[in-house]
Amino acid sequence: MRPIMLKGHERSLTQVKFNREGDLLFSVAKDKSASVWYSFNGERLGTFEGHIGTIWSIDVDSKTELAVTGSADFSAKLWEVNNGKCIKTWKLKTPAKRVEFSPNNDKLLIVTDQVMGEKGTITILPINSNFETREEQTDEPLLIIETAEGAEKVTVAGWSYAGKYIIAGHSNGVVSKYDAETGELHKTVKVHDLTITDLQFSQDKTYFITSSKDKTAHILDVDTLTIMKTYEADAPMNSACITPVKNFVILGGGQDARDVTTTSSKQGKFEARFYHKIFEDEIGRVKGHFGPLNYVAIHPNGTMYASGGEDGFVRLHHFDKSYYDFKYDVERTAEATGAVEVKTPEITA
Amino acid sequence: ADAMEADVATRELILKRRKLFEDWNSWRSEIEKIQKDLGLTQEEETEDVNEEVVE
Repeated sequence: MRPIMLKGHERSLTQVKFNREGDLLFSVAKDKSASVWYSFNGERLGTFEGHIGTIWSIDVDSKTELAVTGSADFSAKLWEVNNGKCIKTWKLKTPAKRVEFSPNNDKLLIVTDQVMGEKGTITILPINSNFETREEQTDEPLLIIETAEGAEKVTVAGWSYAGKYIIAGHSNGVVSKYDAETGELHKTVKVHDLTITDLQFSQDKTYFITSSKDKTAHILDVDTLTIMKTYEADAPMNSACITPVKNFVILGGGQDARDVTTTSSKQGKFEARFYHKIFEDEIGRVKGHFGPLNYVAIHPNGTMYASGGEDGFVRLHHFDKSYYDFKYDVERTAEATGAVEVKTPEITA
Repeated sequence: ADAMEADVATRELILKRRKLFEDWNSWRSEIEKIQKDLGLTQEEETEDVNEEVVE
């Protein structure tokens, strides 16, 4: 599993994300420019220039036509992927911490930070994705979900299946679920002891994984917010994703950034950790970064993963045969008896 | 089958894993059924491609 190092950012990575086909990787960092890379060979295709502060989050629509970024410069920007042109800037009252397109690309959610006396929000904007008129975007949100009285601020949020719900993770470890049309709060569940650092969905968006500074990750069911699985780590976790094809989850994290200078990379636990999704066992670790992993993302076909580090590098790991061959006896038996469907990915060189 | 006879601990672990595996798969089928009933299952987009054979 020889990694490809993507060198281009000058500061810590904040998020990395594949497009739907997985041929491109999008990355953002504390250095004000977003990058787009070919996932096949790690060559940089281009950058999105325009933000004047840390970019906290990026997303790309399912057609790879538009990308959105959310920044500490109190704005979110919409970009044309093919030419890197910024076609819209939404001015916000506070930094944008997380951005995500709805599954059918017609809406955008922005998590705005709760700072300076301003309430944190999940702001939903309509997106005009019509090719001819897409430079015309409105400033008027469809919905603003303010952090409820007494609740802690939202750190991460995403869309469930069919864009039906918005699931949010809060700084006190609570997960909340809202109706994406009305903003009505359906449910809240205390899941973690400390802040939730990431929330990523399964491919069908019916369940999701949360990671936390409390050194754990959980899989929850969208419909009931039941904790289905728990993964225990030995360091604060910054990110987690669910692999398609194989029944694994990948966690990334490590000693907090502010403590890194006092920690050698050996003690810092700066590895990507693989767990069995169903059995919750840790299966293996992938070394490489010399700072905490701030984000991990899996290719939509499950053929590679990318990690963005505090060290300023993106590492892209294409899985090799042993990754696909790894199976528990129980899984092998079930496959042999036809109890479960065997998914075979296309492995490209 | 051999492992099942090895010792009690191994046997218990295998049984536990078997149960976890079955529970997960039955939960997933349940969810898939609900999604299907709601008409939310996203069928793979299949484009009708008229292939032309050039000889």
